[in-house]
Amino acid sequence: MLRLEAVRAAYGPVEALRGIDLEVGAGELVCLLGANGAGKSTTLRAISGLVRPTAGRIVFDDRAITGAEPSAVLASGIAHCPEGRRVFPHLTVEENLAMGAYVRRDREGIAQDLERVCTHFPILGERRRQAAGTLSGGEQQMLAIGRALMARPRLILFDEPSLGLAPTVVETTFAIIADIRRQGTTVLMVEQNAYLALQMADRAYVMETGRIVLSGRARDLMNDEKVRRAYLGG
Amino acid sequence: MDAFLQHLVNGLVLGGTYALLGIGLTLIFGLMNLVNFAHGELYTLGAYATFAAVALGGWNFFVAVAAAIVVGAVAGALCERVLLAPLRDESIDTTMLVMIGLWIALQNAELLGWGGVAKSIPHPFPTAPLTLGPVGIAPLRVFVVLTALALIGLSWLLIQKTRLGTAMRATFQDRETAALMGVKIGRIHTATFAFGSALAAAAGALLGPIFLAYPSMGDLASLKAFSVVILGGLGNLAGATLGGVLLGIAEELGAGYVSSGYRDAVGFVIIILVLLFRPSGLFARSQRIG
Amino acid sequence: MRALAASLGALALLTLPFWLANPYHQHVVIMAGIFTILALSLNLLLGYTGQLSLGHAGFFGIGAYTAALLALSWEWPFWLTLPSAALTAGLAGLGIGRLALKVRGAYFVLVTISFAGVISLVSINWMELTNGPLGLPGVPPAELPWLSLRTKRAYYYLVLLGAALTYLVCQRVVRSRLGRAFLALRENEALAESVGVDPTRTLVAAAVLSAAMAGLAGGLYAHYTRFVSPEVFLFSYTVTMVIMVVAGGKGTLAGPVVGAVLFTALPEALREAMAWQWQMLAYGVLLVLLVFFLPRGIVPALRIHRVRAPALPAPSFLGEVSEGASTAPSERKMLTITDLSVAFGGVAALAGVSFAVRPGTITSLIGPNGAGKTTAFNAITGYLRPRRGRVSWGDVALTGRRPCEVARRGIVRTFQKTSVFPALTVRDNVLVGLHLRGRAGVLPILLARRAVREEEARLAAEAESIMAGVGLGHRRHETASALPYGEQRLVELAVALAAQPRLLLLDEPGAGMTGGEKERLIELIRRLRDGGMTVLLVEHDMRLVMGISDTVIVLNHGRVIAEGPPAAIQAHPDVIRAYLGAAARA
Repeated sequence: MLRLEAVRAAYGPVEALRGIDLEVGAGELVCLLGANGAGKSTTLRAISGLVRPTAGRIVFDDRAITGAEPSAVLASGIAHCPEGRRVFPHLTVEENLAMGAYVRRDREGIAQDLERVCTHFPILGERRRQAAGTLSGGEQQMLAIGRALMARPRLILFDEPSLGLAPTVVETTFAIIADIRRQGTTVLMVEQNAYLALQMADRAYVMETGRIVLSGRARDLMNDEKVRRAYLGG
Repeated sequence: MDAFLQHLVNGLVLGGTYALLGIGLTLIFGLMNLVNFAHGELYTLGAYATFAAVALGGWNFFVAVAAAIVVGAVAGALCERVLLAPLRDESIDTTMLVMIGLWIALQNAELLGWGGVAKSIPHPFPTAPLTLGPVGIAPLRVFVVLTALALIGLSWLLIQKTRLGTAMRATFQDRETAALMGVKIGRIHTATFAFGSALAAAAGALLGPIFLAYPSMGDLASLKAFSVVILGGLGNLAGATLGGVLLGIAEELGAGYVSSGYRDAVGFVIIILVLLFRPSGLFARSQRIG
Repeated sequence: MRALAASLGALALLTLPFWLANPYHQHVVIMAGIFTILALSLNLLLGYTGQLSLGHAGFFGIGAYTAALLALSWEWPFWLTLPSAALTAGLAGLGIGRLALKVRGAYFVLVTISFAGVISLVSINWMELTNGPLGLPGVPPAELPWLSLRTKRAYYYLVLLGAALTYLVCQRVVRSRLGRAFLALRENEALAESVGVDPTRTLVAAAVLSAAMAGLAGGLYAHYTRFVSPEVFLFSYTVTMVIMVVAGGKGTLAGPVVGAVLFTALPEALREAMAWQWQMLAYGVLLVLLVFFLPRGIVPALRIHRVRAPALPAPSFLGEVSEGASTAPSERKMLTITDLSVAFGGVAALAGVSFAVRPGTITSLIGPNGAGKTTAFNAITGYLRPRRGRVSWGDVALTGRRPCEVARRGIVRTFQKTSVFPALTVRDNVLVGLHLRGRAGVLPILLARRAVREEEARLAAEAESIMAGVGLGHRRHETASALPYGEQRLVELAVALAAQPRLLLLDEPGAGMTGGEKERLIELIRRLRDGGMTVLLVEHDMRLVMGISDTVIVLNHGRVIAEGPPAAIQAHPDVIRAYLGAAARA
C-alpha cells in the first residue's frame, strides 16, 4: 500500500534520513521504533509532505507522492496525527474536528462522521463547544485521533501517541488505535514505548541515525536484544 | 455633561472606523507575522476610490463605498501575491522594509495622481444634524458608525463561522498542523491580506466623506491602527474592536478637555505605554481569534 | 596601493570646495555630509544590533532644537551647542533605550515611531519653547573669534570634521568588544547571553551612541540652515536614512557613507528632470527592489575578497584549558539542584528535581522525550525562572539570575539546535565567546586607549589558540553559516569554551554528528574533564552517554527516577521501563 524507496531528507545541513526503505501493506499495523533523533518523525513528515525528500521515492497505492503538498497527500488518503497532539487550542472541539475534514466537500458525509466520532469518543461529544486547549492531555489525544479520522483516511500515521500521557491513558489510546486498525484502516506508528507498541503491531522497523537497522515481525523483535541496545546503548 | 456626551458620540463614530482599521491589521500582523506599514495606504486608497467613483464617475454614493471595499480587497490580494508571497520565508525585518517601500511608493503615487490639494467627497446626506437630547450628530456620521458596526459584525461572522475563517484561525494557531489538515497556507495568506486591506479601504471610504481625502491621510491611520492592535493584543479580534472604540473616545476626550493639538499624541502614548507595561495588550485574557 | 587610494580620497575630500565653485553644489555636498552622519548613526542600531529605529528624525530634531535654543537664548557658541546637541539627543536615546529595548523587532520600531511622533507634536504645540509651527528663525551661524564658518565653503569643513569623527567612532566601536556584542545580539541573542553578553546594557549603549550622533547631525543642520522648525521631525528624513543604510549596505562601515552620498546627490541631480514626488515614489519602489535584488546593499555586493595574512601557528588549545582550570583547583565547586520545579501552563515539566554534579566529573542527564532535560538546563542557566526550588554553585545561589550573570560565574551552556552566530566569521564567533575575558568599556574604546589595543591583541591570540585546539584554524575567516554541520557544532563548542567555563552544560552535542565526529567529540569532552572542567551533558546517543559518563541521572515525567554509574543505569528496571515501555517481558 505504502512504499518508501531509498528516501533521504535533510534539515538544512543535517541529513536526518539516510536512505529509508520501508513498506506497509494494506490492513497492517506497522511500527517504527528507535531512540530519539533516529529519524522516525522525519520519516512520517516526509510521507505526509511536511518535509521534502532530497532523494528517493514514496509510493502510495502505486502513485508516486514524493514531494507532494500535504493537502495532496491527505486527499490521496493518508492522515498524519502529529507528535504532541497539536490540537488547535483556541478552536472548539467541533471546529478541530471540522478542520480534520477540511479537504472534503461532502457536507453530509462530514456531518455523519462528526457524529460518529462524537459517539465513539463520548468525551468529545460532551465538550463539542469547548476550546480544545482546555481539554486534558488524554482528551486532546482523543481529539487528535478523531480529527485524523475525519479525513476518512485509508492510512493513518501516528507519531508518538503515548507521549506525555499517564499510563492508563496510554492503554486507552493504544486500544483505540488497535480498534481503528480492526475496522480496516492501515496504521504506521512511531512510538517510543517499544514493548507496548510491539505487542499490538504486525511488523516493526528499528531506526538508528537516519537508517533502518532492523526489521521483522513484531513477535520476533520483542525478544531481540538489539532493540534494547538501540534504545539504551551498550 | 452635555459636552461630554457629545464627545462620547463623536468618539464612537471615530472609534468604529479605527476598529475596522485595527481588525484588518491585527489579522495581518497576527496571521502573517507582518508589520504592515502600507495598511494606511489602503485606507487612503479607499477614500480616493470613493471620491473617484462619486465625483468623477457620478456613481451612487453607496455603490461607490461598496466598490471602494472591493478595490481594497483586489489591491491587497495583488500586493500579497506579487510582493509578499515570494518573501514568505524571509525575516520579519525584510518584509517590513518592503512594506515601508510600498507605503512610500503608494503615497507618492497618490500625490502625483490626485495632487496635494485635499478632496472633499460628495455624499447624499443632509448636513443638518439629528438631535437626540443634548447630542447632535450628522446623518452622515450615523451612516458611518452603523456601516462600521455592520462590517465588524460581518468580519466576526466570516472569522468565526465560515470554513475559510476557521482555517485562518487554525493557521494562526499552528501553521504546520493546519497544513497537515490540507490547508493551503499561501491561499490563507492572500485571503487574509485581501480581507484586512478591504477593511482598511472601508474605513477610508467611510471617514473620507467626513474629513477629506488627501495623500498623506494614511500615515496617521497606520499608526492608529497599530495602537489599536497593540491595545487589543496581537490577533485579538474583540480586543481590536474594543481598542478601536476606546482610542476614538480617548482622542475625542483628549482633544476636548486637554488640547486639540495633542489629539494625535493619544495613539502614540498608548503604543508606548502598552508595549512597555502590558505587551500582550489590555485584553489579553479575553478570547483571541487565534 | 590601498594607502595611495586612501590618501587620494582624503585629498579629494579636503580640496572638494575648491573644485565646486557653484554654491548650490556646495550645499549638496554639505547636506551629504550631514546625512552621512545620520546614516552612520542609524546603521549602528539597524546594521549592527539589528534593531530598526524609525524614530531617528526625533533624535535629529532634538539635536537641532537644542543647538538652536542654546544659541538663541543663551548665545552659546557653536563649539558648545554642538556637543550639547549630541548630549541631549544621547540622553533621549538613553531614556528610549532603557524603556524601549525591553521590546524587540516590530515592537521596538513602533515605540520609536511613537516617540518621534510625540516629540514632533510637542515641538508644534509647546509655543513658549519652540515657537510652534513657525519655528526658530535666525539661529546664529558658526563663528569663532578668529574664524567665521558663515560661508558654505568653510562650513563644509565643519561638517566634514563631524562626519569624520562619527565615522571614526563607529569604526572603533564596531571593531571592539562592544561592537562584537552588538553583532552577537543581532545574530543570536540567547547564545550571546550564554557567554556573558548583557543584552540590556549593550543595546542601551548602542541606542545612546546612535542617538548622540543623530543629535550632532541635528546641531550641524541648525547652524547651517539657521532655521529650525517642526519640519526637522519629518518622517521622510527617517525614511531617507533607512534607504541610505539599506542601499549602501547595513552592517558595514562604508555602506551608510556610500548610501548617504548617493541619495543626496542623485535626487539633486534628478531635480531638473523629476518632481520630488516622483523621487519619493522612486525611493519607495527602489526600497522594494533592493530587498528583492540587492538585499545586502551596494558595498557588500562590490566587496572583493582581500587576501589575508597567513595565520600564526598556535599552541594547543586543550593544553590551554587544562592549564587554566588546574591553576584554580580550590575553585572547584559543586552544582546542587534542590527541589527544582517548572510548569508550563499547568503542566509540570519538572516536578521537584534534586541532584548534584560533582566537580571534575562528566555527568549525563538522560530520559525519554519530554522528560524535562532541556527544561532543567534552562532553569539552571537562567533562561527560565523555576516555580520552586534552588540552584546553587558552591555556596552561591544561581536561582533568579539572568543568563549573562550565570555565565559570569563560569557556567556556560550550549543549545540543542545548532546555535552559532551565523553571519559572523568563525574567528568573530570565538571572539564573542571571549566577551567576559575582556573588560574594555565604551569610553576607553572611543579613545582607543593603549590598554584596549593590548586587550584586543591578547583576545585575538586566545581566539587563535582556541580555533586551533578544536581544529577550526583553517576556517577562521569563513562565515559560520557556510560551514558543514559538524564544523558548526565545533564552532558552537569553541564559543562555549572561549568563555572558560568551570561548568559546561552541553545540550545534545552529538546530535546529527557522524561516527567519526562523535569519536572526536568524546575525546574532547574527556580531555576537558581531565583538565578539571565539570561537564553536564544531555544526550540521546546512549553509546556516547554510557561510554563517557562518570554518573548518569535519568529523568522521566519531570522526576529523577535513577542515578548511578552507566552500567547500573543500563540494567535498572525503571530505566528500561521508561525507555522501552511498561510491558517489558523480555
